[in-house]
Amino acid sequence: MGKKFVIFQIGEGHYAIPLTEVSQIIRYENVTDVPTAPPFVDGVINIGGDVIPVVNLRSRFSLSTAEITRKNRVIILRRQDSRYGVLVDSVREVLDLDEDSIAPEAASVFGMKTEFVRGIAKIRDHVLVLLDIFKVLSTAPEVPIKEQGEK
Amino acid sequence: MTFSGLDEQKLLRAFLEESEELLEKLNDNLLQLERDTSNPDSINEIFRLTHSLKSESALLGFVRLSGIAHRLEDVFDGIRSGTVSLSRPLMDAIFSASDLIHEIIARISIGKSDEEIDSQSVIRELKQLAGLAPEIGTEGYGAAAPDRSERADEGGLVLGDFEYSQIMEALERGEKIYELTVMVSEEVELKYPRAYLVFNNLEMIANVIQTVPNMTVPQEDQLYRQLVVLLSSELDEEEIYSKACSVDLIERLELEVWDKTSIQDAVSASRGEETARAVAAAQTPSASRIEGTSIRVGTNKLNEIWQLVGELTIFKAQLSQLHDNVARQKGNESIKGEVERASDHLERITTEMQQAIMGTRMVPIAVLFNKFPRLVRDLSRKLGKNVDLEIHGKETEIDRTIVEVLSDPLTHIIRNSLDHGLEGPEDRRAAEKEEVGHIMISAHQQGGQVVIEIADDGRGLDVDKIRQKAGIASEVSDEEVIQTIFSPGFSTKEDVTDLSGRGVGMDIVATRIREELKGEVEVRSEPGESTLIRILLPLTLTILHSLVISCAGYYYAIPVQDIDETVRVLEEEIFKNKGSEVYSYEGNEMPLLRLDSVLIGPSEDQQNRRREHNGVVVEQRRGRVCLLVDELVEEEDLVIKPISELLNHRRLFSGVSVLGDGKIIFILDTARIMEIIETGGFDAI
Amino acid sequence: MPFRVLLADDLYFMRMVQKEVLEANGYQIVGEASTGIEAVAKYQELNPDIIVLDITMPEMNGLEAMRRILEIDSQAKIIICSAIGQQNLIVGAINAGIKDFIVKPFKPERLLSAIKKALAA
Repeated sequence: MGKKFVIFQIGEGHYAIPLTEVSQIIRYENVTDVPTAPPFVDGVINIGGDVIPVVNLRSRFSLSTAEITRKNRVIILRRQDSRYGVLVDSVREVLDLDEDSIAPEAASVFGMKTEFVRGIAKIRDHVLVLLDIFKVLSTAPEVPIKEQGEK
Repeated sequence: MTFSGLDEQKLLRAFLEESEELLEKLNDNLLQLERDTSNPDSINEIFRLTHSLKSESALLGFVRLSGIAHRLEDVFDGIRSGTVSLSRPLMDAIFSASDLIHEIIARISIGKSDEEIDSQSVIRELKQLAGLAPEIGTEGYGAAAPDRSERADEGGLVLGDFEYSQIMEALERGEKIYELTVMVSEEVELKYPRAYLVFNNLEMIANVIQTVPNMTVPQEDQLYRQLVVLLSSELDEEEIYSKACSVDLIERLELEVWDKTSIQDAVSASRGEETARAVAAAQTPSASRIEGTSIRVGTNKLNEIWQLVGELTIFKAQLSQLHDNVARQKGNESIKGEVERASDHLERITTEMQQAIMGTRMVPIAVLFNKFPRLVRDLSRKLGKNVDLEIHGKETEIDRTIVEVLSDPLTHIIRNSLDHGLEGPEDRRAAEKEEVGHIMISAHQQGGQVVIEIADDGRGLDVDKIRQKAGIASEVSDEEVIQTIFSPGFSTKEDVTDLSGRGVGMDIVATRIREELKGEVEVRSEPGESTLIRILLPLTLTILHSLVISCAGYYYAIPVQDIDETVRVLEEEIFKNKGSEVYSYEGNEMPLLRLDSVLIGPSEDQQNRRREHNGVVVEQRRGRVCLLVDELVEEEDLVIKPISELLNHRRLFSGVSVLGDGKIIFILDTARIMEIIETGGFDAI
Repeated sequence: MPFRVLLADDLYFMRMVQKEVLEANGYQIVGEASTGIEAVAKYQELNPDIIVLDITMPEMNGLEAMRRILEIDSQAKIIICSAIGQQNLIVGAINAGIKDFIVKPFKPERLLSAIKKALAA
């Protein structure tokens, strides 16, 4: 039995995070702007009375901003008592990935710094980056997630 | 029998929770006993407490703990029956045994076992002083070698496998377990048949698990003077009691409902742990435990309910907003009325519910205060001081999360009072004071706050020394000077502590109270006469009465307790002083901060500034500051939620809340804002 | 309405003592029987509120009479009079459903309190 992963897309890149880290996936709606937040935080959403920050992964990955479309989703992640939302371009699917289809080498793909990559998998014609999403979220705002000089 | 699904951790937690309460009561009663050594209530209560502790700890395999408790139980059994007299040395030995129990439980609570503890010397001392026969063999109770012939309780019930399975099944059926003790009148001939009448009556309405003496095989008639019946039934106590009562010539009847403790007691006394745990598990389907009329609920569960009530208040606010909108529209008068009534109704229910739930979060401050008599007793003996402690307002309720944090600071303050504040007997005589020093601890509620005061009639603070050491100018009033004992780093200054007679670690105390509890602390002192430390605490940490304000299109909230007043500020009342803006108000100047420049960034457009502003004067121990905001929106009770680090990297907010219309609102951390102003302003962060 | 009591004892003296005590305390003695058979018949006939039944009686002993009465009326309130040494018989009677028992010799108050208690139950 493989492990279930949520596959989402940002720009040209396909990324995967374990389903166990995801609490729900919602549309980008009712996001309240927070003036004092770092630029890659789009704002906050209210889920069941909890105020959850929404991180725009495009801007966190230093990609140009894009307009919100019907395909955009906010993935709500849960770790211990905290929840976070990440805005992605689209959610593709939920996949079973076998351990042996994942290469643990943290290679740099899509210009990602290796410390944020848990592994690489190849599905059909796509390369999937298994993202350490909580590491991305807990990294100081001024530290880029992608290698310098990547276009 | 096999039992599954036992949660040892849960059991241990329950044990620790309960033992904490138990130790407090033990402490209380020991102190009471010391004052009045013949008080039968204290003696009985201590006997009961040590008995419970013995059984419960044996159940969890804490042999040493159980051993000490067992010995104490013996001692108090002896005192109760008059075979042991309570001498001064014995009292001291009892106190050291109680200390050892505290120590062991503290070890257990951090995950250690009680095995490294040497309990032998304490036990030996107890036995010797109480004149109890030295015992050969295991010191532990139950856990080491449960003696089946040992009486499980006074009734002498000895429970075997069959009885356990009956208890288990009965509990599963939802029945209660009763222990009925019947005393047949002494003068009655044929006691066995008389006891049999009771037994027979009970058999008709309940499931008799065991009787002592045995009913089916008649024994010597005189043995049936007392009959103990263990039974299970779905009937309530009254019905059982009245059925047993219907028999003539019964001298005395006692009906006891077995709670979890008694069952474990009996089980642990004559059986291994496994069964007892299963009993515990069967009786505690969830984390809650029923004890008499009170119910214990895990803090997690409580917080969950609290969160839900929080959501409900948000929904309530949403509805009232909706109602406002409806009211503004024309027509539909009858619907408007109905919506209004429904909205009012919901408002009332929600408020009541909020209060009720708040009640469950609140505990009497006695849980904290009850520790102090012992602390004062021990410390005053050690210091050779004669101290009288008075406690008032034990019943004052306080949020349980506050209790946890408050314990250390409060203990520290009292220690300081004893250590440095109160003089020794000679000094007191010399100062023409009553030889006995006094410490008074009190609590009461005032507005939305709990006020705790610790006062002593000791030597007071040495203002001059504090002034000198802290390097404070002479024009500063004494009253202000002594507050510096709470300033960060104060106590680390050389010499200050001892010379000032106070202040050891007071800065740390203050920091905890101010930062962790959002409270305030202040001191007053009459040199040579008294010191009073007053702590002001919010009633609860999670609901905050706040003023909602708007600023540059966003909403924020300021806790009302931080606000001194709101003012209209004219542009011409604002001056520049060394690059910072100052507001001149009633002849005084105070720093002024345009909130939008902090939250949004400096505004370029000076021309656009209004001539008149809404100002909120915020008061903290650091002083006052006037915050300029756009609008004062309304006062609201906000349910405060933690704020994610991602949103608060400048730490300007202490929390976040959701308004009635779903708007998200940040709570300004005024203390932090002042700190920023003091340490160089917002450019620095 | 006073409670109606049936007395069954082969000794006239015993019945007399019992009758005197009970009547003095407001009970009505509706009948007397001196044998077990008579006791059963009178119980059926008179349907008393309570019957005081001696164990040792001719023709049919009290225990047999008790069983028959309970067959007729399972709710019958029966008090057994016995002597010391009959405790196993008493236990048997308790199992059968008697309300109380009195051990001879007894004081009048004892009979009163037993009857009172049995009627109240």
